[in-house]
Amino acid sequence: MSRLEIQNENIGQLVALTGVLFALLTGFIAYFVILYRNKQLKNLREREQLEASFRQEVLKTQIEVQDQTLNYISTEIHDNITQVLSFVKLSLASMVSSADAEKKAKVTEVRELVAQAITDLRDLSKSLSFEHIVSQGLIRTIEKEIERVNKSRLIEVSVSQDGNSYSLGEQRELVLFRIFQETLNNTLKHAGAKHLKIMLQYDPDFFLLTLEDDGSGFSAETLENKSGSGLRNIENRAALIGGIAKISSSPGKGCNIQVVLNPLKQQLY
Amino acid sequence: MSLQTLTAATFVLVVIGMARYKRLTIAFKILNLYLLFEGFMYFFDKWNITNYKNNIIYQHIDTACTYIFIALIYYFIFKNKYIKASILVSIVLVSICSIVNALFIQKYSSLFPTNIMMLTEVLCVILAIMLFKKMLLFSSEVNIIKQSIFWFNTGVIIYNSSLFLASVLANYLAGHMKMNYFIMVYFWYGTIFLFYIFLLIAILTDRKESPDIYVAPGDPK
Repeated sequence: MSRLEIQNENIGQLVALTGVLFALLTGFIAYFVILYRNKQLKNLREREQLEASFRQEVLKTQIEVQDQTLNYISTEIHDNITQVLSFVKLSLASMVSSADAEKKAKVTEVRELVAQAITDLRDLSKSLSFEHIVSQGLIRTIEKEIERVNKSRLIEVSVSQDGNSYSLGEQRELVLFRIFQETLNNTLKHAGAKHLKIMLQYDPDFFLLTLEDDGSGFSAETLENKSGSGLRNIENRAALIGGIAKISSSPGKGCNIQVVLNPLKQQLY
Repeated sequence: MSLQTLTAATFVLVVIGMARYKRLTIAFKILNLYLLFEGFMYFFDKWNITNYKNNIIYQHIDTACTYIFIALIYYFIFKNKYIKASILVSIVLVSICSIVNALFIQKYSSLFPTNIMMLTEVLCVILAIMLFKKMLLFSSEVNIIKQSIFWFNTGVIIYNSSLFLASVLANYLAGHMKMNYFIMVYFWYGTIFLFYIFLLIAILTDRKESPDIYVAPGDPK
């Protein structure tokens, strides 16, 4: 065999072996990169799930603590303050018989004011109480709250219902009522609105709560940052019961909040 | 492609490494020192070949030292104390084997240290596979192409498996009287250049500020 033939044979063997080796190594590295990427994605998904679950848990705890506090305040108002005021009212009644005409008129006036305060406090106590909201149902509780707010003449609130109402479950109705309260609070504090419309749409496939005011509204930037105003709170609460909150507003054009829920999908926290 | 080109390429890498020296992690600072050592080895290699037509002793020293440097780099990359201890033991064993081999088996004055070469290449591949496994078990969020460890490890696995193949092939061809040294030398140079490309990317992507990655639960940080 000539030297040239040996050299050609060597080159052939070397090229073939090198090719096989590099193909194997490239395959190995590519396989590793794919595996690594999949692992990264899996870890990312797991972390996101953990974070979501953690956020949900924190929110749930916040809501539970808030409800406990509101219940406590409600009980205190009902069992303590209104009782004291009732005693004051009775004492004033006993003073009426012994007083002269001028004092009698004054005492009667004070009695009426105390009676009004007792009624208002009882209403407030009911709107804060979890048991009361559960027993009355969502629509009735909202109507009661609206009556109370309308009495103050700070804002005119109206409510309308579309479709045959059905129960959304105690927890979900409570959360929806808290969303309504949060919105009402925001409207009174920040919006400077004259009217607030509440619409409850009971469709067999979905439930839609719409809250619309004619206040000053806010910019897209505020909406994006969701800083303050409890807007983030509204979204979080809606997410907690498996709903979606859509908030839209622009300066001078009021604010519209829609919370949509699937009534068949039971997600109690 | 020649030894001069290889020497020049090594020194270019050293300069780049030195420019980023303060920003490199300990492992990659050692890599830079290794490249500096290699540059001088190539330089004296060439000088020895020109003057004495023999560079075998340099091959013996280079083979042992290359493993020591690479193993030390892995020592600082791994955080597990058992792996660290195993690496230190392997360094001592390779050093002893190299001395025994150079003195009694493959004489430092006449024979290439192919025994030690094959041993260290296998050990390096094992270390690289162990690191790949650790990377998969404790994957970080950093994109893999931005991880210096990945490029270094890929370079090590390709370089050492190729050189292992080259050593086996050289033995086979020599045994069958078909040896064409030029082909083997070019293959060797090609592999080293490829290794240097990976090392260059590793040096450029390494950052001291990066958080510790691939730390298993229980490993010291």
